[in-house]
Formats: sequence, structure tokens, C-alpha cells
Amino acid sequence: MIDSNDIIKQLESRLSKISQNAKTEHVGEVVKNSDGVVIASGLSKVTMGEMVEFDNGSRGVVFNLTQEAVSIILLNSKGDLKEGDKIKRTEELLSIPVSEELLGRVVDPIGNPLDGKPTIKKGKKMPLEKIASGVTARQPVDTPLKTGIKAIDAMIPIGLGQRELIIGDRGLGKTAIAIDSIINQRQLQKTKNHKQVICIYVAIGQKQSSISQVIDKLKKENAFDYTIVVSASAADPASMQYLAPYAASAIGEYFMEKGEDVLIVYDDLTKHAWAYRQISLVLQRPAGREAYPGDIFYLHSRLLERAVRLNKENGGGSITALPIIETQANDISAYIPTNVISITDGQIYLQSDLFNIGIRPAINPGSSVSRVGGAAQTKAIKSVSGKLRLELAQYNSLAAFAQFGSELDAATMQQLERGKRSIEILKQPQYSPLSESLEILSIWSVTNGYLDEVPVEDVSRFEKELHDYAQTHAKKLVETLNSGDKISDENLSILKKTVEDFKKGFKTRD
Amino acid sequence: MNKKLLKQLVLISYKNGDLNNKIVSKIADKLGRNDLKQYIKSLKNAEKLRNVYIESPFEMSNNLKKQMSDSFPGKKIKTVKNLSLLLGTKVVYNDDVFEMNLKNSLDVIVENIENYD
Repeated sequence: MIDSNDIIKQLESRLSKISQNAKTEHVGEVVKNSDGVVIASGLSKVTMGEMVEFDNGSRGVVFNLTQEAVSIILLNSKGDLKEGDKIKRTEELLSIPVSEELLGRVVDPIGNPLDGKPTIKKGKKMPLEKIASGVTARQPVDTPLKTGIKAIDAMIPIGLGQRELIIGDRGLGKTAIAIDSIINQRQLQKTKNHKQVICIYVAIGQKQSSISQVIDKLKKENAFDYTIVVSASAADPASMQYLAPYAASAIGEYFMEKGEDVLIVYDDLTKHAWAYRQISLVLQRPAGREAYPGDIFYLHSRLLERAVRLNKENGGGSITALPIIETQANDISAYIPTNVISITDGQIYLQSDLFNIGIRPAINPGSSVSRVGGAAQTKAIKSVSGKLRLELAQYNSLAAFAQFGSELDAATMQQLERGKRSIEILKQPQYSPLSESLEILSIWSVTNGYLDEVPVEDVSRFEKELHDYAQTHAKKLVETLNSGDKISDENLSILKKTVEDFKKGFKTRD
Repeated sequence: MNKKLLKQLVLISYKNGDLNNKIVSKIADKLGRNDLKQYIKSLKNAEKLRNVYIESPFEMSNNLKKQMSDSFPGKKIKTVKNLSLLLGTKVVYNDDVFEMNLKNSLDVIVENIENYD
């Protein structure tokens, strides 16, 4: 039992810590409240980006400072604010409390839980707006972040600390690629010496039903334990949608500072730009092209610059960003897409025609690019993927030409047939990322002509059965290939023998 | 109306350091809706800068009032009786609020207890 004297002592010690000095406050008054933006007088000492508190408990962020007035965007409006209501400074920049408790949680951009679980009280306060790490703190992108999608890992590799844009029309599987990449990080846990990548999924201006589907999928695939969802749905105010990606960056930076690798999916930045445009128009900032404000480029560049791979002196952590942009009628030359393309280190371009003829993921290898390139690939996959890219390029140029000529020579015919099978092998169902060894197995088989005699419609069955065969008959090879080391001559001969043995037993439908 | 003119109108609205009702009415009659809005806003701001409000739970003695006005030279002191303060004073000048009262001390203690982990 606690002694009453102890309680008194504890109380006294706590009371002694409370400042008894005269409290000084800087206050303001609501002059106007329209569309989630409050114009206030007073608050002469307030700073840009500072959080303020209203009489009724609502909170806001200072967004505009002029000689006569202060513009505040409302974060959580509790009841009606009216003219003359008092506003208090908090002397704190907008921040979010972050700790390991956030893993497996769904929160809004200011850290309030949306999953019905308790509020995250303890945690380091991370500022939402922060200048990205400088050049001296960074190191080049040279470690792969495996997505488990053959077409991406082989042709458009993504490295830790890279910013790779996923761009395409609606309904082409942009989110699916991002979700696959998150799910694949669980698979990588099983491989030796692999550090768990922490994933953050930011939903901006999306339907709540879509967000809930994503969460359900992540839970089903056991990927939610290492994932944080930051949600600002279409029902939330524009201010929350605007802040969501910065909140995710702040959360990511907390883990990065601890030396962890973080993957952030911004789904999507088109809606983020719309939210910022809405706020800017309400604030009466001058409108430019497509009514976006003048600093729309800076909006995304300062966000994506926070994706970084730190050097060892700074902890060696990283933030990899996968921003998503939705295009209209495959037009990648619109304002926001061109902006984000120029900011990122490459793009994965999804095309509706490819999607409609059954190529899924509908990645257009011609327009997709990774500016980091082979540096973000393991030696094993690099050795097999070079040939694939070349063969696909040859196929695409020949396919267009072949439409006009009826008679083709044998070599051209062979190239066309190989190309068809290469495209077929790159098809992959949703939510089924592959390990690196299985990716190598598939790509190596097709580029070395083992599928040339297999009918195109049997390619996917061939691939699936080959994977099963290799996992049971060549376990050691599968494990070795997963390490990512250069494929030795000995392993190459085992690989060759495995594929040949399997092919002998494979029966085509006809 | 430009800012310079607005400033001048606010300046002439004062006579012997006090806002003059007659002058203000005269100016207001001659202004359009938008200009009037700006004029009122500027007057309010000017009033905030000229006045210091001192809230206290008791009637302040003349001696104390004099001491207070000496502390804010050039400003007009306005005293307000506020029983909720319990003890001490609250000084409001423009957008600065100085709390030196028992109510505030109790609020701080309550806040600390509420945020106790």
C-alpha cells in the first residue's frame, strides 16, 4: 500500500515543476470563417505553420500571414466557429506523435486513431514540414527494394531511397502494384539477413470503401503488422488531404532516423494537388495554369525530396517513395503528371490498351524507366534481365513491322514468337508477388528459349508448375538464387538441369 | 480608399486622446459600404493599441490605478471587475494577455494533472 506521505511528496514534486510565472498569451479573434479557412485578426507574433487553438477546442494551422490578417486552415472543426471567437497560439509547429505503437494502425494526418483503438499518447513529436536531408548526409541508391513483380524487378528496378512514380489511368492497377510491393516485404522477412521494411500507405481523397478494401487486403496477407495507414478520405476537409503525405513523411523520418528502411506509398498525388488548389483558391492566392497556384511544383518536390537513403554516419536508414498519379485518357503530358515525372527517379507507366488485351500488370516497358537502373538490382537478376529487355524491344519494333508483311524469314519469326512468350511470362496475377529466385527462374527460362516450343496459352501454367517443381526438387538452388549473389557456373548448370528436367515432364494441352 | 487616407481618418477621429463620437459619425456618413468596413476595422485596431484592459476581482484603488497607468505610459488604462480571477490580475494589451491570477494557476495545475501519464 502506498503511504500517504509518499503521495504528498509526489504531488509536491510535481507541483514544484509547474511554472508559477505569469502566463503570457498571444491571442487573436475570428474575423471570417469560410470553407474551412478562418481569417483572423491579432496573433501578431504567430509564425507560419504554427498550430493555433480556438475557444471551442478546434485546431488550425497558420497558412498565410499578412500585415492585417492571419489565414488559418481548420484541422478538426468542433462545432461552429463564429466571428469574435478567441484564438490562442500554441507556439508549436504542426507535428505528429510517432512511436513503434503506430505499426498496424490507421491514423489521420494529425495522429488521431481512426481504427477505434486507443490514442497514441507517447511518442516523439515529428514536424510535418521539414527540410529534406542534405547531400552530405546521403548515399547513392544501390540496394534493391524488391516489389515481387517480375516486370518491375527485372526491367524497372527500384532501390532503397528511390522515388518511383506509378502513373496511369484509373482502374489499371496502380494501387495493386503498390500493395503488392508492401505484401512482398513480408515475404522478404523469411530470407536471411533481411531487415524488415516498414511500410506506410497514405490514402489521399479516396473513397472510404477503397481504403477499407486496402486495409482488409493487407490484413489478409499478414502485411498489416509492419504497415501504417495514414488516411484522409474524400469526406475529410481539404486541409487534412493536403497534410496527409507530409504526415506520412514525418512518420517515415522517425523510423529512418532509427536506421530502418521505410516504403511510403502516396495514393494519390493528383488528389493531393486538387486539395492544395482548393485551399489556395479559398485563400485567394493567385491562380496559374489549370487554376493551380504558383507553388504547385514545390508542393510535390519538397515532399518527394524527403525520400532519401542516409549514409552510415547518419544511421543508414532510408525512405523509398512510390507516388501515384492518375492520368486522364493516358495523357502523361498534363500539368501535374509532367511535374511529378520530372521530380521522381523514374516512372512505371500503366497503359489502358495493354490492360484491355489482358497484359496485367499493364506496364508499358517503353515509356517506363528507372533512372537508378542496374544499380538497384542484385547481380543475379541483373544477369538475366538484360536479355529480356533487349528481346522485348526487338519484339516491339518487329511486331509493328510484321503487320504489313505476309512472309517473314525464320529468324524474324523466331524473335516474334520469343517476344510473345516474354510478354506472357511477365503477366502476373494481383497480390501474388514472387521471390527473387522464382523471378529469375521464369525470366531465365524464357530468355534461354526453353519456352519457345510451349504454346503461348500454356506459358503461365508452365511457369507455375516450374516454380512448384523447383521449390520441391531444387530447394537449395531456390535458396541460393534468393541471396541475390552472382549466379555461379555450378548454379547455372543446376538451373539448366532443373528447367530441362521439368520440361521433359511438362505436357502441353494439345 | 488607400491605406494612407485610412490612417489619416483614424487619426482625426481622436480628440484629446479620446475617440470623438461626432467626428466618427461625420466620417461614417460620408463613406461607402466597403470603405466603412475598413474604417471600422482600423478604428478597432487603433483602440486595441491605445487601451490597456486590467481585469481584477476587486475594485482597484485610485492609487493602484495610477501605479498601473505609470507602468503603461501613453496608454489609456481601463479597469474591468472580473470575479472569476479569484486573486491577482489579468492584463490585456492588443493581442497580448498576461495572466497573473489564481484562476490561471489553478487552470495550469488542472491541465498538468489531466496530461499526467
